[in-house]
Amino acid sequence: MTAAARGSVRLEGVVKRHGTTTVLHGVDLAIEPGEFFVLLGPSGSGKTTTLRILAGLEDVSAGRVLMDGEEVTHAEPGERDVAMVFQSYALYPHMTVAGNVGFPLKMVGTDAATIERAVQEAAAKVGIGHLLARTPGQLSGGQQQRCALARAIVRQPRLFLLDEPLSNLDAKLRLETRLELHALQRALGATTVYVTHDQEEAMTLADRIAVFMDGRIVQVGTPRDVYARPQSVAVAGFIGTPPMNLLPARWEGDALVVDGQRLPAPSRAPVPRDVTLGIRPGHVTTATQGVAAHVERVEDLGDASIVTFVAGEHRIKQKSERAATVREGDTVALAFATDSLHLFDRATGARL
Amino acid sequence: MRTATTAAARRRTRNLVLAAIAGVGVAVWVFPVLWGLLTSFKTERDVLAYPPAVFFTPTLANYREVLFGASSILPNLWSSFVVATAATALTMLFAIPAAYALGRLRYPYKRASGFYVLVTQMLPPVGLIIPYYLVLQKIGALDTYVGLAVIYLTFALPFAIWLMVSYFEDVPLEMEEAALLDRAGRMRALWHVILPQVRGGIAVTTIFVFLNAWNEFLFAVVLGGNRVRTVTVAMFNFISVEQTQWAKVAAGAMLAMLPVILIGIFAQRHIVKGLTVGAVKGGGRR
Amino acid sequence: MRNNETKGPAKPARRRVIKQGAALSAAGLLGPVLSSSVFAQGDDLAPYKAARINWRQAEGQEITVAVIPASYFENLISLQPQFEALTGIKLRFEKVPPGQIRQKAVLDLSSKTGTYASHASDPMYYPLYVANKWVEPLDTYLNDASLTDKAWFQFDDIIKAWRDANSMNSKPYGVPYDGEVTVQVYRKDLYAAKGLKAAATLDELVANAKALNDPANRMYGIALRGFAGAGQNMYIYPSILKGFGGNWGSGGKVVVNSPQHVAALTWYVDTLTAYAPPAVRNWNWPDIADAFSQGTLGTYVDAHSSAAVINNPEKSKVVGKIAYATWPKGPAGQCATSIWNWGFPINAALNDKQKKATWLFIQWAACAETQARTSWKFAGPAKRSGINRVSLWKSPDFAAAMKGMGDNFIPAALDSLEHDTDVDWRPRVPQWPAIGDTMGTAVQAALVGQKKPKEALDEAQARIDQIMKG
Repeated sequence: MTAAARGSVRLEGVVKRHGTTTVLHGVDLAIEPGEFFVLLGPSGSGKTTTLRILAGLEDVSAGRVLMDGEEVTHAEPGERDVAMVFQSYALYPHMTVAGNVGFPLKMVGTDAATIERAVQEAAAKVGIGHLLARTPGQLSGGQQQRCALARAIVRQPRLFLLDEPLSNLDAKLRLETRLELHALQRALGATTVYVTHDQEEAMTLADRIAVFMDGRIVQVGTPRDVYARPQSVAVAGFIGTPPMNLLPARWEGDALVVDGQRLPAPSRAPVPRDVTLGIRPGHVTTATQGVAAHVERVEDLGDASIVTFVAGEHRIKQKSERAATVREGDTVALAFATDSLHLFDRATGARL
Repeated sequence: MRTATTAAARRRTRNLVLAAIAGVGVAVWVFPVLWGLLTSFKTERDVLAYPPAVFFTPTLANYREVLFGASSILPNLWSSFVVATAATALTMLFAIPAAYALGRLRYPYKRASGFYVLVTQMLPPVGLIIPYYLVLQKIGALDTYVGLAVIYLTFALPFAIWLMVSYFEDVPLEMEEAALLDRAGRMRALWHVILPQVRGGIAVTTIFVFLNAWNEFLFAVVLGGNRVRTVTVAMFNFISVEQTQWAKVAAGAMLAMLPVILIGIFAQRHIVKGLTVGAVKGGGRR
Repeated sequence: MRNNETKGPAKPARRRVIKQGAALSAAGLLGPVLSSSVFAQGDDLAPYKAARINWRQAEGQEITVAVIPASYFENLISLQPQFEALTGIKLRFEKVPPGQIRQKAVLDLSSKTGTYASHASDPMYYPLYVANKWVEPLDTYLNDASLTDKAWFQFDDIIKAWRDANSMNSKPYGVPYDGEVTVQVYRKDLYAAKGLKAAATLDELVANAKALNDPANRMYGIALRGFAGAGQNMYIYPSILKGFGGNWGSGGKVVVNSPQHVAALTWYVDTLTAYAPPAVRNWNWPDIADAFSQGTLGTYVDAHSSAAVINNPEKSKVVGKIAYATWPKGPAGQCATSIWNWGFPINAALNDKQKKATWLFIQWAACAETQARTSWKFAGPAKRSGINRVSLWKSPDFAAAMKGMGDNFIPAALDSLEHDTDVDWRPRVPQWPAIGDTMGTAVQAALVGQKKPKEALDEAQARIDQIMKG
C-alpha cells in the first residue's frame, strides 16, 4: 500500500455544539490522498475544532467522519492511524528526543531495534539526528518543533494533522521551516491537514484551502482560486496582505458609482443594485481622473510600499513593488483596472 | 565606575544579610534537633547538668535501652511503619486517580470544593475520636492495623487529592492528547506521560501523608492498643508520671525521626527533579 | 510480638534477680527464702492459697487491664505469670500514656465495649462513672464469701483516705492499688546552715523560701506545680485553699471565687512570683523534682513518691540531704493534703464470669502479699513507695526499703494520709474533668500575671456555672 493510495478523508454534515453554542454548523469536506490541505480562518472560526474532530479528540454532535471510506466517527484517537503536531508541540519533557520520537512505536509493542532504526530515520529526515540523547528542555524552539514533527512521521500514519505548528517560531525560522515542511510533505506523500490563521502560510503550503468563517466552510479551492475568486466579502477581506479594499457601490448599467464617481463596470448590471466593490491593493493605481482621495500614510517596506488613501469616508490601500511616488497629504485620483474588480452582493456578501 | 562599586558593595551587603537571616533560621530549626541528638548520648545526670555540658563522655546506653531494653521501641517502630505505609499506600492508590480526574474535570464550584477540603482539615480531630472509636468498635477493628490505616486514610485522602489536583492541572492537556494520538490509551497515557510530570507532587504528597501518619498520636493512642502501638505512643513509656527520662526520650525521638529524615533525603532528589522538569521552557507551556 | 510489655521485662528482671539474690544470699539475709525459689520475689503461691476462696473459679477467662507506664505498674506487670498460674485467667496489660488513659477509659466505658475489664482509674472520675453506672459497686464482691476471704484480704487495712476517694455514697467502686500524698520536701543541709526548720505554717514556708532564695547563684526558695491542668496545678492549689479555710461550695453548687479562694490564689501567685524559678509556670512535678535533684531548690510541696527521683543516684546531687514534713497549716489553722491513688474498678459492661475474673485480679493486686512483692520484695531497683495498706506502711521491711529516702519520710507521709486529708479536697462532681481544666487554666493565668487572681476566678466561676448547667 503506497502512501498515495490511502489517506482520503471525508466529513459529512459534521456539527459540533458546546452546550447551547454551536461551533460547527454542518461541515462537509473531502480531502484527497496525498493532499496538503489547509484549514484557514480567524480564531474561533471552527478550524481547530475540525482538526480535533479528525484527531478524535472531540466528539461530533452530528455527522460522520470517514477515512479511506471507513467510518471512524467514534473511534478513539489511537485507533485512527493519524498523527498530530500540536501548536505547543506537547513533547514529553521527561523523555529524551529518542524517547519522544519512539513513543508511538513503543505503545504498539514494536521491538526495540526497529524503534531505534525508525527513530533515527525520522530524526534524520527533520535534521535532529544529532540531538536524540537530549531532553526537550535542552532544545531550541525550532528543534522542539522538529522533534514533534519526527514523532508524527515516525509511524507513517495515513494522515498528518498539524495545528499551527509554526506559530511559536520567530519570523525568520518560520519561513525556513515552512519550506522544509512543504518539502517533507511532498517527500512523504502523506495526506496532511494543516490549521493556520495565517493566510500567507496557507497560500504557500496548500494544495487546497478550506476557509472557515463562524463555524462554516465558506470556500474550498486552490490558493489561486481563493485569492483570485473569493466567494464572499468575508473571504475577500481575509485573504491577502493587506486584504482586499471593500467599498460600498451602486451598480447601474455598465457603471459603478462610488462616492458619486462613476467607474466603468466589468459587466452590465441586469438591474440596478447595491453592491460591495472589491479591489486588491495591488490593482489600485493613481491616475489623472478617478476617485478623488488624499494620501494619509505611506509605508515603505524597502522592496514594496503600501499607501493608505482616504476617499470620502473610506480608506483604500495601495500596494506596489516600487517606492511610492506620492507623499503624505497629496491629493490624487484613484483608478481601478476594470478586469480586477470583484463584485459582491451588498446584502448577502456573495460573489456576483 | 564608582556607582558600579557601590552597587557591588550593596549587593554583597545584601547577600551577607540574607545569609545571616537564613543562618538564624536554620539555627533555630536545627537547634532542637541537635540538642536532642546530644541529649540522646548523655547520661541522665549529664542531661540535667548546669551549665549544660557540651563536652561529655557519650554513652550508647540510651539507645541500647530504647532498642533492646525492657521497653524496646523496635516493635513500635514496626507498628508505625506498617500503619504509615499502609495508610500512605491506600491514600495514594485512591488519591492519584481522583486528583487526575478532578484536575481534568471542569465543574462549577471547583474552588469552593477545594476550600471545603481545607476546612475539613481545620476541624479539630478530637471531635471525631468518639465516632471513630464507636465505628471501629462495632466492626471489631479497634487495635488493628487495618482500622488505624483506614482512619488515617479518611484524613489524608481529601488533603492528598487537594494537594495533587494542582499538579495534575499543571500538566498541559495537549500532552495527554498527544499520548492518546500516540496510541497510548488512557491508562498508559496516565502512566507513561502524566504521572512522570507530577512525580514531584506525588513525592511531596506521599511524604506528607506518610509523615502525618508516622507522627500521629491522638488516634493512635485511642484507636490502637496492645497490638497496634505506634512509636509516638510508645515514647510515653519514657515520660511517665513518675519521671521523665530525658535521655531515653531523646534517643527514642532520634530513632523515630530517622526514617523520616531518610525519606526526606531520598525524596529530596525526586522533588527537585520534579520541579526542574516542570520548569523547562519546552514543557509544553503556552 | 506485642506481648513484650508483659513478657519482655520479666527476663532481664529475672536475670538481675538471680544476681542480686545470690549477692544477698551470700550476705545471709535471704537464705531461707531463696532455698525454696531461685526468684527473690518468689513465685510461691502459698500466701495466696491461704485465702479461703477458689482462685480458679473464673479459669479460662481473658481480661485486659489498662495501666499507665510507671514503675509501680511495671512491677505488677512482671508478676502477671504468677496471677495466671494462680487463677488460670489470661491477663493482659495495656499501657496507655497518662494523658490519655482517662479518655480511653471513658470511651470504653461509655460505649460499653468492655475492652478494659479494669483500668488504673483517677479517683476524681468516680462521680462520673457512678452517675452513669459504668462501674460496679464493689461492696457485693467484698461481701460475697465465695469471692472474697475478708479475713485474708483485710479491705479495711487499705488506707482509708484512698478508699474514701474511690467511694461514692459510702460504697467502694475502686480498690486502691498505689497512691501518693503530698508532703513538704526540703534540703535539711541548707535549712540547718541557716537555722531554719520545716515550716509549720504557710507563712513559715514563705519565710524559709525567702531565706534561701538566691537567684544570682541559681538557687530558688521554693517551687510548686505551675502547669495548667486538672492533675497539675489543680493538684496543689486545692490544698492551699483548704489552708485558707476555703471549700468548693455545697448542694450541687460549685463555688470557686469566694474570698478564701482569692486569698489562696493570691498567696500562691505571690509566693511563686517572688521565690520560684521563672519557668515554674510550665512545671509539672517531674520538672520540680529534677530541679530539686540538681540542688537548685530549697523546698517544694508535692507527692511523696517524688522521693524516688530526688534520691536516684544516677542523676541526683542531693542524696542524703533531704528531709520531709507534712503540709504547713494555713491561716485557718488547717490543711488538707492532696492525695491520689490509682484504683481498679470493675467495668459494668462485662459478663458475670468476666466480672468475677476481674474481681479476682483486683483482690490479687491489692492484697498485702502482692503489695509487698511489688515493693520491698521486688527484685528490681524500683521499690514502690505508694503501697496501699497501713500495716505495710508500718512494717519494718518497708521502713528498710525506704531508708535511703531521707529523714522523716514515712512518718510525714503516713501522718498526712491518716490525719491530714479530706476526701472533698477537690469538688467531687461528675463534671470534674471540665471544672478541673477550667480552674487549672484560671490558676495559671493568674500565675503568669495575665489576670488578677480575683478576675481569673470570677471568669472561672462563670464558666463553671455554665458547665454545671449544661
